[in-house]
Amino acid sequence: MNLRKQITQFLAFAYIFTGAYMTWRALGIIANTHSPIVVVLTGSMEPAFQRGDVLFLWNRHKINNVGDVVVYETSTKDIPIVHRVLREHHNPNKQYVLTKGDNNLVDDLSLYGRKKNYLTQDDIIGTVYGYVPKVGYITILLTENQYFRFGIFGLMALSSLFQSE
Amino acid sequence: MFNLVSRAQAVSNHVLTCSMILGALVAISSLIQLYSNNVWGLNNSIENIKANASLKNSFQYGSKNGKPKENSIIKFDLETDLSSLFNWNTKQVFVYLTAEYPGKSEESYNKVTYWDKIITNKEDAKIKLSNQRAKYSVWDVEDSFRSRIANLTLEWNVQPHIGPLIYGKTVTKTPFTFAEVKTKKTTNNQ
Amino acid sequence: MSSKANLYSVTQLRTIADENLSEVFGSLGYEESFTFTDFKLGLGLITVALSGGLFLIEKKISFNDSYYPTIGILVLYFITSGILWVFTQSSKYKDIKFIGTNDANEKITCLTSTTKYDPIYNIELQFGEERKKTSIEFMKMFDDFSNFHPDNLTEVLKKEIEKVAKKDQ
Repeated sequence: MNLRKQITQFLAFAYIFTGAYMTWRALGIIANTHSPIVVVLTGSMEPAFQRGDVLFLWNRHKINNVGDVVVYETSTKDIPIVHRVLREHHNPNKQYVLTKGDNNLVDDLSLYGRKKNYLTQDDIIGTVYGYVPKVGYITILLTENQYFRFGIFGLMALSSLFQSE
Repeated sequence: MFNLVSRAQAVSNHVLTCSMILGALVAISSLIQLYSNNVWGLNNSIENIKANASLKNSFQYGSKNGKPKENSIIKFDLETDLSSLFNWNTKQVFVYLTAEYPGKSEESYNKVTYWDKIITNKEDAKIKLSNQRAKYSVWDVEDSFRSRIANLTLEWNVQPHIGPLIYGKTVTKTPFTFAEVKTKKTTNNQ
Repeated sequence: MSSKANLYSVTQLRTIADENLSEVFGSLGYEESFTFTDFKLGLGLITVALSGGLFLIEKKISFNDSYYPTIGILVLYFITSGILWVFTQSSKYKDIKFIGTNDANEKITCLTSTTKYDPIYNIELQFGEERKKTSIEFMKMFDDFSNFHPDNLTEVLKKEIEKVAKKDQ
């Protein structure tokens, strides 16, 4: 009997997380990318994108145009990079893309890793189509500031204590 | 629960909903404004294009495996007025001069950027350049541009304070022919 | 009676009264049937298992390789959640708080509800086809120290059950 009550409470709690996670994955499937929403971490696209801005990605098109802002991963950097397409060369089977940060002096050749002159579709996580400023700063604080992290977890723990009363 | 936590929750939910609606309204209103200003029909004038070419051996200029790469650079005059792209939701306008040209096969296509600029306020949106040197030294996926004909277009991207990124291009296309690399012989003759 | 309620929150008062229904019906000779509850819990556990599974797949397999399995799991998840929603939140099922049978194997279903501001506990009893509606003020179930007292509720329910029983005879 008590077990049923505990399971009910557990499910109510779990549903917050599973609901959010599954919605996130569904968005990913719709946009055809493993990260449909990303937070900007560097200033290389300033003043367009600043640290903490949130970008919405789309990855269902075959071709990225010159001027599109794309998010890509390379072997040389741990974090995904948000830069603008400077050149593109394509035929029906393949596209080569060269990118550059608006705020950088030179293109991204040196970021692509050894002997790689262009990005291809496989490197690109998605193209930016929507923008919301600053709200992603919470995740930056959560991952980079331990005091903030402990503070938030402490508050959550406290509030869950109060709620069970 | 009639305590501080639930009240804070209710207030923050309300603030969140309101700001989302407000954000959407701002984004939509600025889109309407762009449409009504007919920004997809803006004009430009690109004249006096002087193309030049040279061979480069450095990786930074597209050379691979020590093979020299033909690099193209141009000089141009440009005049346009992009001030109608600025409204209350415009954070910056990224304006870039592109050249499109055909590839080896019918279906292949190339587009490169020669010059770009970040404009953050309306006063700088009237652009008048004369004998401007391209910002980028451009190379092709092939070794040479083979004196193909390219079309220059001025394109723009409006980066909003909130909402979708908006793209467009000015209507005029200006053709030019890629320059050939001057051979060593001619260089010696000079 | 276990927990204390905030006397100004109708929702909280209702929750505590709901939690005590099982005991009240017990004293009236009804044994709770958990089939419906277990069905809902099962669905809930399936949704958790599905998202747990998808999380593991995401960690182990790349996005492109797990594309179609991910779609499959997502569809299953949203179907299960949808069914669960119908049985927990839709107007037809959300008020069902107690299902039980007595010694004569007669089934009883109890639905309870409140409006936002009236401190009244609305009760609907279903005996097969027959439905009986009644209500009781929360003031009669809770004392000033927010302790729950089941006696008045038991009395109200007993009256309704007896009415039906008499008719049947």
